[in-house]
Amino acid sequence: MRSLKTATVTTAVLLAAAACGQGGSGGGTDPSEAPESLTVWVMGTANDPLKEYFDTVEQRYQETYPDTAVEVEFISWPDAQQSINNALAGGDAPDVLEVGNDQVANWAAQGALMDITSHTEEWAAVGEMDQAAVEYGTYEGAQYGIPWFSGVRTLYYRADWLEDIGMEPPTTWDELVEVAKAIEDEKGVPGFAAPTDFTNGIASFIWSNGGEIATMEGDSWEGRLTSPETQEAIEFYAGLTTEEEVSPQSYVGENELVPLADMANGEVGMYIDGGWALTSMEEQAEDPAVLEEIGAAPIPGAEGIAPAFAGGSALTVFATTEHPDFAFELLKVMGDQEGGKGYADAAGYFPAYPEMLDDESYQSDPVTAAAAEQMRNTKFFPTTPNWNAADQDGKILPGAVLDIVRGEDPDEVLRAANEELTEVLNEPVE
Amino acid sequence: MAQTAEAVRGQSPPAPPPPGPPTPPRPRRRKIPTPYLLIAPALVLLVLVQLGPILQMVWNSLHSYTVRHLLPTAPAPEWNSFAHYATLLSDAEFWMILRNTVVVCALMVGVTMVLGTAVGNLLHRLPRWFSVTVSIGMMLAWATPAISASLVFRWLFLPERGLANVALDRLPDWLVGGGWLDYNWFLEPVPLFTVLILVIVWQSFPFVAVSVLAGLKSIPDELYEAARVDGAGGWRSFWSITFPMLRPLFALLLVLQIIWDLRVFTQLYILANSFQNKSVYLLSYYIYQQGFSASPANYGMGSAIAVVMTVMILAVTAYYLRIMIRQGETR
Repeated sequence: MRSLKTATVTTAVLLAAAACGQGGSGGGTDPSEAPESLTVWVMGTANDPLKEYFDTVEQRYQETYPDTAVEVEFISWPDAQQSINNALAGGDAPDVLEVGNDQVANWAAQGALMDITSHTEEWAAVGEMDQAAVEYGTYEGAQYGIPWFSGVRTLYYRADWLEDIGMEPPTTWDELVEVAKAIEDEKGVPGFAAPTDFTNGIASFIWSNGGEIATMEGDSWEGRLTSPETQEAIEFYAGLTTEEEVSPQSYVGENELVPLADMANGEVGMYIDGGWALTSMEEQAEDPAVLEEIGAAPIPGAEGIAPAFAGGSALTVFATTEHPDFAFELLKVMGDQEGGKGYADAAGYFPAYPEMLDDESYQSDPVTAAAAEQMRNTKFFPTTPNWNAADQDGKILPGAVLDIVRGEDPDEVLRAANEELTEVLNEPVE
Repeated sequence: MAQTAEAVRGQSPPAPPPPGPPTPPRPRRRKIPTPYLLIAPALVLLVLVQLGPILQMVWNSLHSYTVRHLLPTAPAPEWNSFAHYATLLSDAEFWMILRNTVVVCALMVGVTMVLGTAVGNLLHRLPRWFSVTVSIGMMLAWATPAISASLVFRWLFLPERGLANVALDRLPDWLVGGGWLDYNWFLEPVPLFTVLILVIVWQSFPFVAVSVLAGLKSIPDELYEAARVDGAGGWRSFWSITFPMLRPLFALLLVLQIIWDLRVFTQLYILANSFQNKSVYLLSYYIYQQGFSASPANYGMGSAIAVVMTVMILAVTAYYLRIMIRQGETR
């Protein structure tokens, strides 16, 4: 009885939302008033599939707004912060902007993003997206970003080498060390890469051991870096370089881009990265045949699959746009099922629509199949605008790992880092 | 405007001034000195482009000023009663960075000056063709963009594959110790600053060397001959002739090097690989990290640190100006 009622109500709401979605598009978005052009900022570097994708977006947008050109600018991830700062300072700002899903709250709090709650409420497609990711795009109860794509990191390994030495891809920490040592012995290259500037990867180790980075206690954040589970995981990760010596010194202080280049050139046995890394590897490989031998598996945890950070990006409307309604219409073209899947396919991610994950195209390729499996086991970073200050800027967790690898006392390092983390996460947002 | 120009062009050329001595100026009560009038535009421009930003920086440093104050609809930055300075003064990290900045800068300047002077002397003695060849080589180092030079040095010192580590590893253990191959130069302050000083010195000693060479050419050979007759060696004649004669040049070079080396940023950014390792920050680096890379970017704090550095540079510049003015007096 109860479930029937819920179902009826849900259906009614969905119907109403769908009806509104169709009716709503007319309000304030008269094609004759459309601007000459709209600008989209996308993170990353341009390549042919992406350019083709945005040609399609422009064509689809021009079906309704024939006189509007869609201009795309690619911003590299490390430059994102400065570019957005400059845009806020009155430089040329975009209309639609892609931001990392863990940065939505941060930029919303700083006034860079437009509150699009009233628009998303009228847009039926939002109901079909991954609801946890939709929730991750809110700040103080208002919607600022909608998920555009998601992507997880997986363990990349040299399938041919594992076959040679008769081993399976590791599924636990112990196996990870074992396989890595075997690769080093047999193939003469480092078995695994544990770069220290790699929050996304380190988090998987922490989560798989039952640890957390920080948790909400009452109404304030509390760092969890000193909890036994977290500390054990961090020491294990640092120990991959220092005690087990399966990861070389050359990855200390680096991010995952250095092992990426090594993987592409057969100079490392295993490392953790996302599906998008394959495109970069193609550009960096001296011998493309190596790429054929690269396999992927879910990230090994303390015991069994480790949860991965639910990476991905959100589409947002920039606060200073002069055409908010038209900008949101463009966001819809990029973020609906067709636009979302198109981008995910062009860039090596997964669409933000969970039911699409069962699609044959994702299950047939072993690399994406591993990622699709990993997709079902993900977690988010602390949902606070201060997360960026703690991670991107403060480098609290990577800094602590770096210090431990440098030989400092883990107890002391983690106590200090945890204090700093708690303080930064609770700083008032003005 | 166009019409006027047209009209002017249409006119016959203006009559040449009448020959003869110019008419003597009429006596005036107090005339504006023409030289000042002539440099006035330049002064105004200097005030606008130099003093303006400095005042803005001081103002920023006294207010809570972050990204959200940039928006057109945002509130004005609030006065924060020297809070940034109070934070800095009580921040152990800041004092560590300040100390490192002074020590590293002193080492860079010291090594650059000594090496530059030595090479300048060498160039003076070498046969001409050899001296030209060496100079060209040095100029190439000097002309290398900072970012390329830093990348090359980073590669040279990379663990596992860097030339420096491979070479050190091949040397006998009794000489340099073992285990160099995977030694990471970029983690601890001392090795990282060592590489940093290497890059900076490599790029800046040519300027000193060439300047010293130019100075040496202006000293009459007779002085050295006389010294030699009196039995002075190279060391003695340097301190008794070269150094006193080139004292103003050395002062100028010293001040320039201090100012340049205080501002070092690019090389450190490449070597330290972004901002994760707080123990190797220098002041200029800290300014950028707080003012631009932090999230949210803290313009107030960045400006406060910049004010500290500006004061340091102004102090050095004041010393330099004093030397210049004294020289003016003695001429």
